[in-house]
Amino acid sequence: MSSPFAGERLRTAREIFGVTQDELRNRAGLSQSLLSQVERGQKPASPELIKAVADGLGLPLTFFDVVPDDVPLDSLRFRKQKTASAVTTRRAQALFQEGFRVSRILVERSRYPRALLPYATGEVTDEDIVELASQTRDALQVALDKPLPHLMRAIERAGVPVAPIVLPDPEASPLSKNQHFGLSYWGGPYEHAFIGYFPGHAGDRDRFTLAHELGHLVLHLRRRAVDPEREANLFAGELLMPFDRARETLGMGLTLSDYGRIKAVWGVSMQGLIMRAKQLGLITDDRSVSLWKQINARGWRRQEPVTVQPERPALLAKLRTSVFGDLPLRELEEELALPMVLLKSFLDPEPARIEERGDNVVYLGARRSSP
Amino acid sequence: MKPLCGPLHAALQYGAEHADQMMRDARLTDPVHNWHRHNHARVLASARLAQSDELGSWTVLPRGKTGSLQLANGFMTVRVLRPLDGGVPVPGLNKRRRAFYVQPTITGLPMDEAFPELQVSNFVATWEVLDLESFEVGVNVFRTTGTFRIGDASKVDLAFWLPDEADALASLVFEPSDKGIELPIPKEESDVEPLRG
Repeated sequence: MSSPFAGERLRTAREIFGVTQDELRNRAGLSQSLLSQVERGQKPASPELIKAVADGLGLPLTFFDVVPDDVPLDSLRFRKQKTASAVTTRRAQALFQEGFRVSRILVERSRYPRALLPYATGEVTDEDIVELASQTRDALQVALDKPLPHLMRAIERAGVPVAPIVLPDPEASPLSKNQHFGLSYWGGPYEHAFIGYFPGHAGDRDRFTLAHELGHLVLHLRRRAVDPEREANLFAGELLMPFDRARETLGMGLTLSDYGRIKAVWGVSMQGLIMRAKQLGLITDDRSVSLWKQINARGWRRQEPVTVQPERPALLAKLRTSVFGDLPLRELEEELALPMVLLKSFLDPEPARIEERGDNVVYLGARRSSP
Repeated sequence: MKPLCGPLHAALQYGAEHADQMMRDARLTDPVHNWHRHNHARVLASARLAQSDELGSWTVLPRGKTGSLQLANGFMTVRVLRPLDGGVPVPGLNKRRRAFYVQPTITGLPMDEAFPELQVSNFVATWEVLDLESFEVGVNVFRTTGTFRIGDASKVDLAFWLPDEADALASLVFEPSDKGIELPIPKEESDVEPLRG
């Protein structure tokens, strides 16, 4: 007898691989109406149907036995731009839920310490967010006033696995190209937490995404905010560069080159530093405008100088070894109910390939002249 | 010329921005006043460079009657001028300026500043505002080998674009380090039985 959740898992499988019912009908040799009825729970999924779909998509049969994690989609914090497509967003959510599930299995089986972060309740002011960022640094066991040398590892040490979210079809445009940055969910104190990010951005952007998602976990676990994204951004800025250090470091007289040197120390983008200086009232509106004009004129809006090398996750790979020893991923497909291509992305990710331009070549012929 | 990259760009940008404001305040925005605008900019840039302590062994030479901006490092001199049609301005009839333009052609490929003939060379640097909002400037450097007139091909044996500080920044890197951040993985033997499939 098939799992009562087989219909929901069928839809999840389609979302993960980005296929329509019609495409799945072709791959699995089934009728579209049958697939539709099974997905809607109007018909049970027969073992033959499950086998055909699993073969068609390259999934282990156990994928359809999984009880879906109760990660409510409406509480999933999603750092993305408004232009991100709805279809890709659903794919990212489905992949995140699988990452959440697999990471929870590994954390439970290895008895890795659960996330214990501070969390906000009730009304929260900007001052409260500054204080919560400081408490979070404390929870991460990092210095309260120094640059964060490896934010991802500190988050992992604090009990929050982090993994890249990558589409399984290699020819698909990466999620980072689709204006997606990160996703996160935390069930609460001593419950599982997980942060997913979409690799391919510059290292400083990934660090901001991680800090932003951590902000969602801390700020929005127990409360709904009017503008959660603004709060998470404020938290991220404060976590990456605490207010007292920002006040000492960022000031009116700084040139873009100075911001570049500060970026190399703090791992925060020049644009992020300028926004923070403006946000904290350390530079005037006019100075901010002037700096942004210079950033634009140099083409640095898209590609800044000063490389921030990407951080790479390590926790899930270590937990896999702790739980499964040196068993190859192929042999974990049935156990973890995911195909190898997805297991690899979560447990043995490739080094990030930066999609943004990585050079600073300036061509004389492309430079504009004043009239 | 490495020490000149940042300061020269910054000074010319400062000069251009403030000269523009001065001309706007005086309501002299017609292009016919551009010579004055550029002259103001050059004077302001010259003053700023003279106060800079980032020029290394370069110094700003005293301004002549025309307010020209010149920098020197030993026997190497750079005269900062406005471009003519995007290229090298003509030397004109002034004898001292013509003499500045005349120098032996370099033979071989000068790969660095240690090339002895470069150490005693005169250079013409032309600057222009690349963006009228940000006042970002671009600077091209030419080594002239003789005089020429308007319409003639300029006599130049070396030309390059002087980079601004972006290139200096390009070498800076933030390298993440997880040294000292140990993940508290429970020990296999005592805490958890490894699963085999």
